Amino acid sequence: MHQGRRIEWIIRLGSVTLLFVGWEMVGRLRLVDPLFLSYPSAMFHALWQTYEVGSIFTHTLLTLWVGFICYIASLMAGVPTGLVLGRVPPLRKVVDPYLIALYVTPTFTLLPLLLVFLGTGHAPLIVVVFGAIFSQVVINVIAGAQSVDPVLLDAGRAYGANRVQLFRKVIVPSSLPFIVAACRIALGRGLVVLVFAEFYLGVSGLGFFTAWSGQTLRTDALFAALIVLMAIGLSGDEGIKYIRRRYFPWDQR
Amino acid sequence: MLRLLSVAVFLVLWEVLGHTVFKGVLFFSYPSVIAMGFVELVRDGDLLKHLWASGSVFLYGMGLSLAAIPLGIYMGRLALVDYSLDQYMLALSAIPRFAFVPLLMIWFGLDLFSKALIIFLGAFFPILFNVREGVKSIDPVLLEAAEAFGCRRWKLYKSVILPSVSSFIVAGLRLGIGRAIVGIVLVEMYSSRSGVGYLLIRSAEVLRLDLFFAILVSLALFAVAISECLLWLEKYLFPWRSDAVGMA
Repeated sequence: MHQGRRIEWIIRLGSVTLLFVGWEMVGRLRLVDPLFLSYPSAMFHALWQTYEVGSIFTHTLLTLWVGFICYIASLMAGVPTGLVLGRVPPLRKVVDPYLIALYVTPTFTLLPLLLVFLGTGHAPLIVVVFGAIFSQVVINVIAGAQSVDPVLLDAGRAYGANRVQLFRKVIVPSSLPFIVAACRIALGRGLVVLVFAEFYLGVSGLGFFTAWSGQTLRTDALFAALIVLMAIGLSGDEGIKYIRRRYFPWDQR
Repeated sequence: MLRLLSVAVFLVLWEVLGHTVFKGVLFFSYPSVIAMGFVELVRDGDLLKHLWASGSVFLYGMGLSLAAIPLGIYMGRLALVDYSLDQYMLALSAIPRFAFVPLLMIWFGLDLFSKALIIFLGAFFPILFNVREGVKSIDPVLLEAAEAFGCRRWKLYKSVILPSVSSFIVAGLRLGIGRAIVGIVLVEMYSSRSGVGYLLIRSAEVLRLDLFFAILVSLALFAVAISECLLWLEKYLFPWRSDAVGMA
């Protein structure tokens, strides 16, 4: 088994090294015009460069900052909403159609409309990203709150737990895995919508930066921005996966 | 009952607001006007024309992404292929696909092909990851038994591997199609002279909110209809899989 793992890593690393060396050579030897493909060292250089519109670093921070606000806001709004709706069936039935409508409508299509209402700036961006993840979070958390084992609820009641205690000690802990799953889905979808909104509105952030570097044919900066985006997406996903493994080892869906 | 009531009250309230408080306000629209807008779109043939334009790009992109099925099978079967490609697939799928648009514009210009590639980027990875998962979950005893009975190459793929992963393929397709629909609207909104996304932008730009909402509703209904059809197909073809699985 140990041998197998080692071979796996040799193949993985070898493949990546080969790709980067080959890419660098193709670029340096001008086999393909660097305008189209760029090459790794140029991309690395572009990471630290300051352009007319700012460096990749500042735009990364902006994307992370706006993304963070939207993410936290939609979780803070979505998780309690989902928990309550999951435990109060009549209320859920009333809200259900709108939730589904929000869920199936690609929220970013509202951008041109929000542009009219809210103007250019960060407001339409935040609304759209919030809308895109809020429904995801709520629907997932509802599923979690519904799946609470009724035996646990009965046991809680039998020991004299009141509503608040039941909520805090039974419902919230047993829907936690669903909440974490919702966080993971929301992260991926939120990033897609955020980048598109930045791209479309052209305010700031990595989405805007990729559009700008594409239009000015700075392929090295474009690739560097793509790699930063990839790093954000991967590390977010891996981080949540790690939390799941560490704290919810029984939940291996 | 409560659901229907809730929707009915909402629609009536919206309609009444449109006739009273917001009467004549430019940025407001209400159900009856939206319904008229829908009729207008259908009568002009606008909706059909642009749906057709989007549909052809969609089919093109989905066709390309079917390449994920053989690749997924190979990655599941051969560890060497898996280990040398896995990291790139993970990396590519982690990048928000819309960020590729500037690069695709430099490479191919923004014509049919690069639009199809955006669809492809959305649909390819869910199919790939699902198929690979499916191949890896085939019972090794089945494979051994088939090989012991002289099942080789094509026969093995045809009689053992494909039937075992078919439900994973459909699950991947379902996820992929959802992403593809989102992808096509995204691209058309950003840069296109045709398609549903373009129609949407155009009606927002001329402040025809009735048309805008009519398109939005038809788009959502369209997406739901396709997804329901696939879910039904999945249940019909593979009734032993009690719940529809899939990895995003």
